[in-house]
Amino acid sequence: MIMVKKAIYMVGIFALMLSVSGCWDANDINEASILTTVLLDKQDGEYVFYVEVANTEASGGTEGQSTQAEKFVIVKASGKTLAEAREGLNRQMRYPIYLSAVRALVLTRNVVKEDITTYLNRLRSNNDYRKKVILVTTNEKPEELFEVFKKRESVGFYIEQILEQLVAANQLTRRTTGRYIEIMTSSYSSFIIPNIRINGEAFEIDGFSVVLRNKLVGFVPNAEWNGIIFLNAKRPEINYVIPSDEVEYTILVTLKKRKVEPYYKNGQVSIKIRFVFDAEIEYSNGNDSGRLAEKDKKPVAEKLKKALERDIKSALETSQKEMKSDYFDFNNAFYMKYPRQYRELSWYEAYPKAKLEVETKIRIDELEIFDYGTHEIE
Amino acid sequence: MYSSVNNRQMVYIILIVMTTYDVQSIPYILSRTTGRGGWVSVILTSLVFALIAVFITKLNNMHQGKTLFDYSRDIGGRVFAWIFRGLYLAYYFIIFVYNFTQTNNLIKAEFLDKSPIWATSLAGMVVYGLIAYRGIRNIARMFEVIVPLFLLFFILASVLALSQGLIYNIFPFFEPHRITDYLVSTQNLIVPFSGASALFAIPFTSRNKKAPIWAFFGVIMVGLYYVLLFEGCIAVAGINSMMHYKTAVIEAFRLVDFPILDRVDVFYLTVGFSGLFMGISLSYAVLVDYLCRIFSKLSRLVITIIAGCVLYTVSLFLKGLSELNDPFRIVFSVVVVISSIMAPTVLFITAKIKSAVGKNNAG
Repeated sequence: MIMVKKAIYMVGIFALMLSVSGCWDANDINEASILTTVLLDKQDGEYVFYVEVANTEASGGTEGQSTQAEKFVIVKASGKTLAEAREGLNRQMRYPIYLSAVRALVLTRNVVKEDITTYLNRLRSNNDYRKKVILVTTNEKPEELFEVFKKRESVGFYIEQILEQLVAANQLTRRTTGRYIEIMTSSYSSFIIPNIRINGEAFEIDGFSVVLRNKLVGFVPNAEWNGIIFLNAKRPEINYVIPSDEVEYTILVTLKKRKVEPYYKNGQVSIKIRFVFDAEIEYSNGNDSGRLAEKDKKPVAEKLKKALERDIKSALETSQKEMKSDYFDFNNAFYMKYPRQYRELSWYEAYPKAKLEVETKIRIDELEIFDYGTHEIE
Repeated sequence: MYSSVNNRQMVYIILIVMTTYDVQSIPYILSRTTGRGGWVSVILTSLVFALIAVFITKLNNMHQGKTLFDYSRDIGGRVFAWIFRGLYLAYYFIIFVYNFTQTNNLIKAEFLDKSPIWATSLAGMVVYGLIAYRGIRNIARMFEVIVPLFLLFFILASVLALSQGLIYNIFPFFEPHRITDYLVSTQNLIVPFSGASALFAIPFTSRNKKAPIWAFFGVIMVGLYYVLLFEGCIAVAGINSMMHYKTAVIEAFRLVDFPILDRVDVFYLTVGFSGLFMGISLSYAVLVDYLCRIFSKLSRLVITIIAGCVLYTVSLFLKGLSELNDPFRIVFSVVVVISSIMAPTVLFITAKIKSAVGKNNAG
């Protein structure tokens, strides 16, 4: 009987040993095509995938050799459908594709112009992708985009780092692909995607692509950045330069509170957006460095208030009148307060006609190292 | 092998058995049926099942040192006893097959897609068999280590999901015109709350006198835990996404930024699955205990092996023949409703009446 028990334990241990190796899914890291960037374009009616694949063999040499060698390989494949294009990629790869290392998904505006539903649905059904992967658009030619770093640095990593540092500096809202998929499946679908362009030997965000009903409807340039992030980022911080007589004050403006109050009366949607800002004088071009002269306090605060309201109203006007797209998620605030009415109306029609009102309150102060007291203006 | 547990271990058993597999799909079930007000259905259902747990623990306390297998005969006679024995044998069998097949499907769909189910399930079956052979008391001891870890991970991940999610995703918190939906949806939560019947297989002792209070709050705790999980998942992933994923919790955790870890869902493979495996092992152990009482001449080892072979074959058969799955679900739902709500209530009322009649006769 003891022998039988031992034999059973041995079988158990053997079965466990089989399972810890990952069973049939075990895969050597050196035998995987590790993708770091995926770009999707549409050319002559066909989908074209460009993928940046880590060249694992290049990193195996000495340090001097590895810096000279191309660390990434660009592979291109096209097809009438996404599936066909992907199969084209598979046919060119030495090893099976590994998608969990993809840092950025780049969609050309040619693709977004038509429809991104299929692509986002494809991402949703594919567990190999991280749902936290970032999504950007571009108007650049794919070949030129991948040539910026001469294949010695990953385009996807670079783009991800730009976005991450902007998010960390409260200059941008972090939106993952998972969030875009969530909006896409909602009853109202509108969002903005950061757009990148080549700037010398680097990349920069030059604005946002506006997507409505899962299609590109326009582009908002960087000029409206301030207004956009005051409306949808958590606690953005932006510098404003405000002139007063002969002195120019550089003021760091921090959004402290944003409250969206929707109202619905007689079929009319109205939205009041209240902002509370902290404004801190950083420095000036005057002799007193960061000191705000008593006589300048009120005019500076009023000018700053006007500048902030101008930026916010401009962003709202572009969204409502030009794009007819609520990419500030006001629909969610409305649904929270009026769920039944929201289901009855079409936000696609209601938003462009909605009354939008902006109210700002600024608390202006000198830098904390100075003891200058505060001044409030409504 | 036949042994009792303390109150803390009992609460852990309730928690793990209830949350075994269906914890994955709570956000999926609720987002499809009630929307953002799903927490109302959860609280209502938890109150009902907390009461059922009180019935079961009171019955166990009325018959200390015995399990349902023994005291069902005292309550209603021989035929009554065999009906209940058969019912609970079917219940534990079905619970095991359900959790086992769902777990194997989950492993294949989310983590090991190239590995055949027969292989992953065989590896699992060997482990479950070894644990079941050791008996409920050993499982309860393992629960003391695994359940706190399991709870800590899920609560931490849910709180992180809530903090990283959007407030718009969880509001409106309550919609008065959807009260009917909230009530109707409680029927979808019967399976996730049905685990308290596992307590029928555990004999109580004098140290379990306060078990009804522990069991009541244990089930309420499970309800609150489901609410936290549901709110965390829809906050971070959105209700529209959650209604498309049957394994909604894993999908939501994929979006959570966790300190140190890049992919929380991979952490789920260790902590989350350990809880899942314990729940499956417990239903196997309870089944073996029952069979040992019925076939008292056979050794526990032989029963464990035979039961394992039957369970493994049936699970593979049900997986392979997808057309059988719908009838299986109907049978499963009927057995679960009878054994987790109706049977404990009938047993409790009958026992109470018998006890009152007994007292009157004695008086």
